Amino acid sequence: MSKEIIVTEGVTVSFGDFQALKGIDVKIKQGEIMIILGPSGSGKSTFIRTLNRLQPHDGGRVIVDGIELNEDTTVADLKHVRSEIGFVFQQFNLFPHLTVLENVSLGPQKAKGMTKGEAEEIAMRLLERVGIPEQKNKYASALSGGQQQRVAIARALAMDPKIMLFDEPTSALDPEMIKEVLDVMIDLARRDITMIVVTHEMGFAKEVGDRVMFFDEGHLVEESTPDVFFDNPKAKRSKLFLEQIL
Amino acid sequence: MSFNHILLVLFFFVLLPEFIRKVAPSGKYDKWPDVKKLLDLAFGRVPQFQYNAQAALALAMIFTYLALKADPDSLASWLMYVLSLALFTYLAHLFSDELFDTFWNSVISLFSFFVLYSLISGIINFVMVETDWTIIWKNRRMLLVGPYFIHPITGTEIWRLWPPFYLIMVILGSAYGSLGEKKRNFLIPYAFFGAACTMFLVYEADYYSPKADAMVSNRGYDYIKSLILLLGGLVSGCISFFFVHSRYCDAEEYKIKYFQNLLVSFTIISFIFTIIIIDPPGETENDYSWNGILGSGVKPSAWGGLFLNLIFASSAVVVGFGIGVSLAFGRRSNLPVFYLPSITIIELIRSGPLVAWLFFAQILLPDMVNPVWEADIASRVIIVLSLFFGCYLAEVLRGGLQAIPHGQYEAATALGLSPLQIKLQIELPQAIRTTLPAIVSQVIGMLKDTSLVYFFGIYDAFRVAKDLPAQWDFIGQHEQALLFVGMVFWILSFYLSKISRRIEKNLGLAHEGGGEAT
Repeated sequence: MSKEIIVTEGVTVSFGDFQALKGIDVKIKQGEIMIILGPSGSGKSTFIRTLNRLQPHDGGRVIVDGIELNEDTTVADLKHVRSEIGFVFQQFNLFPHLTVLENVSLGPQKAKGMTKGEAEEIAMRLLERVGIPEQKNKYASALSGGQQQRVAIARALAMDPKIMLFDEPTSALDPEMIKEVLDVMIDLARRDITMIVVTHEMGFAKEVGDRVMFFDEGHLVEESTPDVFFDNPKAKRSKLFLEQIL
Repeated sequence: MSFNHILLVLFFFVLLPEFIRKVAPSGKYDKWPDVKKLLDLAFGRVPQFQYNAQAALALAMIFTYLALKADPDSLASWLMYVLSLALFTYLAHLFSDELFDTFWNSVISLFSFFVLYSLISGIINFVMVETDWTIIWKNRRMLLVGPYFIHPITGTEIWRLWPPFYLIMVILGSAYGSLGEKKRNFLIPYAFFGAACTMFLVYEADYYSPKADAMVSNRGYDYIKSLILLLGGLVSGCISFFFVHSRYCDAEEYKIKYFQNLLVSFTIISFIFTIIIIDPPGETENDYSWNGILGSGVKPSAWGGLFLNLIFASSAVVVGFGIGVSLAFGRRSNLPVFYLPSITIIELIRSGPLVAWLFFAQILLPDMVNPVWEADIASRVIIVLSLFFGCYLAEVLRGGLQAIPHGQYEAATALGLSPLQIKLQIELPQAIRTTLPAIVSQVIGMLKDTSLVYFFGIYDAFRVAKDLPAQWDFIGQHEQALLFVGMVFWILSFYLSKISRRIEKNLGLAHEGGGEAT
């Protein structure tokens, strides 16, 4: 058995009176591909944000790569964890004042202290992997949504992370652009990288997911393999959810 | 016969008949032509060339000038009036589709023309005919650089002002070259600018001086060396334009951006270089490390003229920019140690008028800084101007920082960038981009505010203009001096706001909100 790279115990997050996460216990092994499903407002995004402390949690423990994340985590440790985790956003969040190449090479240069040449070499390799090396000198706004999201994936990969978090990567895209992004993600899934994907793409979830977690109202309702979850869900809430979307 | 008489004729023979035609029962006065037809009749249907209107306008102005200049009631004057009227009518014909398409439109056009013409001819009459501008010609160097640099003994120091001039020309030429426009758009205005500069330097005429009781030249200095240096500067601006233009006119956008960023850095370096050349750092004779080359320099309090306004404004902008950026980030910080001082400074400085702060610089600041640094009044004024600019800039930038989507911050955090790197690499460039027009208007304000230093015995352009009419030869000629300086400030501000509009346009065309797809 490979080691567990992410462990959470009873994670809770509150926004004022509203409790977004009500105690989540998850163990994710290295190389595993975890799909998170759930209706909107169920705490999926909040959960994956706690994993690189974009969203500080109020209670419970989050341990990533052997480092516990809380108020006492040192800056160096936090930086280490963040460099181990790539994050892809729903809204891409590319830097509009930088070219594609600069977007991708910024992380290695600034956070890892590489030289410009090294960083751009890595960036070019990744841009080729996501299939848009010819766009390297354009600005983000000149690209289509699918291309922007692929740049965002390349940007996250440039830090050479062990874990990739995807927060609804295809939700802001036009239907015809979803495939090009999913292809990149499927290609990624074949390599030995831990992926946690919040998505509504059921086909993708069935094809590449090792495990599926279903969130509802801040609870982890069900956790099983994709085959079991889609064909024979145990919880009532999961059945209802699947009926609505399938 | 003045122009207004001709207009009167026009009114009785064109406008009134047409009015009658409109209000009278139809059919009765149809023989009267309307204005548009009249114009077509006079000029035929000529094709509209691009420069027709501009050329006609320029010629019309020149003829008006000649008419005003000529002896009134002479045949020449009358002829010139008729010629200028013909040209104005030709202009009207070029735009007759817009100006004379309906009856009331014709009335409004003719009336506006009357008002505009009175205004223009009044200005031409005042500027070119009535007023004697000898006071400006005689004191042109004083207005540009102040009394110190033209004094017979200290005037040798004027060489310190030439390197900055060359740098400015090179920067201007490169900046325009990097825009990738047609060469003509730069070269024609540049040629006019060069011609104006040369004329300003060279023009000479004799005038009667009551003081010397003789005819005296209004130039009174040797211009050959300056002319060579000036032409050299103009040519180097031109060369840098051509060089940059040939390299970057078809280059990709990121290369142009990269070059423009380089240019900004180069500008800041040249600014520091300028200060060092004019006033090398050091307090006493022995301090000067470049004694042999740069000498002891010229203290800021000896600077003067328009040059002083420009250098004060740019000092305030450069230093104030640093202050503004730190205050803007300080104010947004969550730590009281940063935001309390920032808010205090911003609100304190902004709540007082600039004049009050300048008096503070004159009267109170010496007590505060003298133990560490015996700053002269000019340096103290620069400190206060920078602070003032910085505080206003901080509030402008804060608006830009607040407009940055939170996702940008999250994306940068997720990449592992430190808070300082996020501020400098991600937030600041985007905030400056969105607030650039507001920043430029702050810069314009600062340029004009520098004229307030005239309270403190600093010979800025405004102060010089105010003191010039005390000269024996030009006693009481306040209008000329003040109008001239006002005009120079207007031109500079207009030019800056033109640049700002242009930058705005560039930003609007290129990559707005690249992070947002929804």
